[in-house]
Amino acid sequence: MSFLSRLLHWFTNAANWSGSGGIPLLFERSLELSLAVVALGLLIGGGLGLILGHTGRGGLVAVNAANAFRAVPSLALLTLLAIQPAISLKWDGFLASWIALTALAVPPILTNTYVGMREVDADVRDAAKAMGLRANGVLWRVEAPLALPFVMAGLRTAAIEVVATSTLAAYVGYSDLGTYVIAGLDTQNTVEAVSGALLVGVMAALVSVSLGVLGRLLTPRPLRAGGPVFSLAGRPALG
Amino acid sequence: MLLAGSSFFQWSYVTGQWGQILGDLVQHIELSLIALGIGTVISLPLGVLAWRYRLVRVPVFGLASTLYIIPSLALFAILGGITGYVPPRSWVTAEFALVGYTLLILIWNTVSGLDAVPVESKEAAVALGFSRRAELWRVDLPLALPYIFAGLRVALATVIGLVTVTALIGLGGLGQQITYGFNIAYNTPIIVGLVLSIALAAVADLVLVGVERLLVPWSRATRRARASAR
Amino acid sequence: MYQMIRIRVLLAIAVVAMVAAAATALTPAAAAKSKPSIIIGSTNFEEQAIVSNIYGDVLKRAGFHVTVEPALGTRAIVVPALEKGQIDLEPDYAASLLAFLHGGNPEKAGDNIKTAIPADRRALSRYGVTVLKASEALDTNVFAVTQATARKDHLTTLSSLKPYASKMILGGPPECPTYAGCEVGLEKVYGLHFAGFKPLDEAGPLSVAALKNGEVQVVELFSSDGNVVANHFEALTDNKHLEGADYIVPVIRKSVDTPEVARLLNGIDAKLTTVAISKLNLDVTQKKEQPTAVAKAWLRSVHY
Repeated sequence: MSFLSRLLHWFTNAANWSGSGGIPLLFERSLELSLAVVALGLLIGGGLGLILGHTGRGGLVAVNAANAFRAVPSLALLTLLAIQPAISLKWDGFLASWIALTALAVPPILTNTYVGMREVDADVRDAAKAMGLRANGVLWRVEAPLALPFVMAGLRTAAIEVVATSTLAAYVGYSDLGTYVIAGLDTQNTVEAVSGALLVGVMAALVSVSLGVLGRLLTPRPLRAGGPVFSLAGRPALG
Repeated sequence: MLLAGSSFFQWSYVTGQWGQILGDLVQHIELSLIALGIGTVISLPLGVLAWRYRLVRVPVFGLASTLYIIPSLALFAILGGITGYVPPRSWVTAEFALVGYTLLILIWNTVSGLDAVPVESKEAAVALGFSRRAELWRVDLPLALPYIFAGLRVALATVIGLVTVTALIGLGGLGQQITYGFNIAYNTPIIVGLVLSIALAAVADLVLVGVERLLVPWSRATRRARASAR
Repeated sequence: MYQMIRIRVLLAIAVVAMVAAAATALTPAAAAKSKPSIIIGSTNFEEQAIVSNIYGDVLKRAGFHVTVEPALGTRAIVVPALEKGQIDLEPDYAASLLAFLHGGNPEKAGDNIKTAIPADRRALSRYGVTVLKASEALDTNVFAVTQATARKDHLTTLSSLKPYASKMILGGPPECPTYAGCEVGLEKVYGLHFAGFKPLDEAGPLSVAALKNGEVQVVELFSSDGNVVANHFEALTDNKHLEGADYIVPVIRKSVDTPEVARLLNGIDAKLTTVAISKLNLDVTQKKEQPTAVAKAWLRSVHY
């Protein structure tokens, strides 16, 4: 009980809600980093997935490689970048964290996009071609919209992982909600560490729900019932 | 900063510390396999329950999602006081976090695999007079295996990446190389940790693919059939 | 039927593999013979790793069964492990340990090693843990500036920072702004109000890089870790004694604190000076030598 009341006290303490170490600013910085990471991940993973899925060449190799790249330890990339004089501390530590966490976001987006593209029925493609659509038209007006639910599912997976992992950015000098966790652990202030974790959890939940809703809105109505509303691993893309 | 030479990567470190690196790699494999093993043993029954009883779905996915998003760093701080900070007891602390991370992936894929079993197969099972239990073991689960394996592959790769974080409580496998390298601003150990993690994941993935081919020979046939239809 | 068997085989393999792996991982260390077996825990701070290995080698030489558990984590992991009897011995710092034992708040008793040691003992005794005599090696937080800044503004002590602090950015570990030994103390004891604070790391590579490239003008480092010397920084004198008496001390469970163990550790601690540990740190952080090797080489050099 005393722990819960101390936790409540931490959250109701006005000092924790203002200034450079306050919850609003650190929440915003976590969110900014996560959004930038997911956006870049979408550009790279989504782009590659579209190209590979459209051409149908080299896709399986790329998807298998992407799966192995899920094993890239974020801590390794973060620390490696953080000790390079040219990158460390650029933009308040943002650059190193941005690059390192993007490696985390690419595999799920790439895999899901590729699978979504391959799931497009061959007959639908043929029909589009018969209607006179060129390759570009087939890609953007038929394949991409049909693959969108999968892309969104991958995006959601990536976003949740990125938000949870963004705490590690504080380890290499980018202050965000992870700062509470690390400072709390360093000074044996469990209340502060747990508060930071709770805030990260809240952000992950918010991001997950909003991307879920967005994914549903972006899915063409006839596909909604069958589309993957919440798929972390996607269809058995690797099987 | 660079008294020991200015090259980005030093082979002499790898040859000189090979014993230590190998030990870290072995610990990395052990931590990952235990996590996947326990995760699978917990997830399969929970997945079946969540699939069969809608009421179970909400709490199971709620719990698994919560474990998925708790930052492992914070989990160590909370758990360490109860389970322990020093080997062998810190293994329990570490596995708690790692297993928690696999659950959502594995349970989700089990449920979607079971959901995807064709109605025709289920009807055939009923027509053959299978009990519900026999249907589960002889029709539903085998047909869900491709999904379950997809989940296992994602979970294993993710766990191999995540194990490094347990370096914060003195384990970490290759994560020890990473924190050591960061502490003294030394590229080589970090790169060793990074490269070996990816290599380990690639090898582990190949092994899982092999096991899947043994267990689910028809999935290859289906894929070939599908590929030729396109 | 085959599928059923296959699935059960798969499950059986998974369980067996799991149990086997767990069993190899959880096998306890071999039991001690006559002398107590001692587990030395170390934080993931390289200096403590060096000292842990020095203690370990000395005790091994005397016939004790010693395990050195390297890089267990931060003090928040290692001290509770000692209190709960999961390890038997760890090198720590008299004043910082005292502050840690009082919820992170520096204690008056920590200002002097003569009062710090008894205070540590009082705080630890209910866990069956005590502190031996302090070594001669001191490692406190220092606040460093570049030589150029020091020359330009004639900086030698922390007091001399006063006219310039309002135009300077302070760098340090994330907890610095709320920690009495860091920004809070600089404000209270020295009246220094900085233009801002930049969270970096615990006197690690980020702190060094940030001071070098001018992102911060003052940064927290450790007095013995070699970075000040290696980068030609200027460590400002703590003329009002903000920092405590952070001498390296062996923190030990009473159950293994035999007269022989105390004699051995006190003997080697008498030789462990600030100059000596600074050089050992340089070997690890700059020359990239291993803490275990550095410890052995030093023991040879002092004819141990």
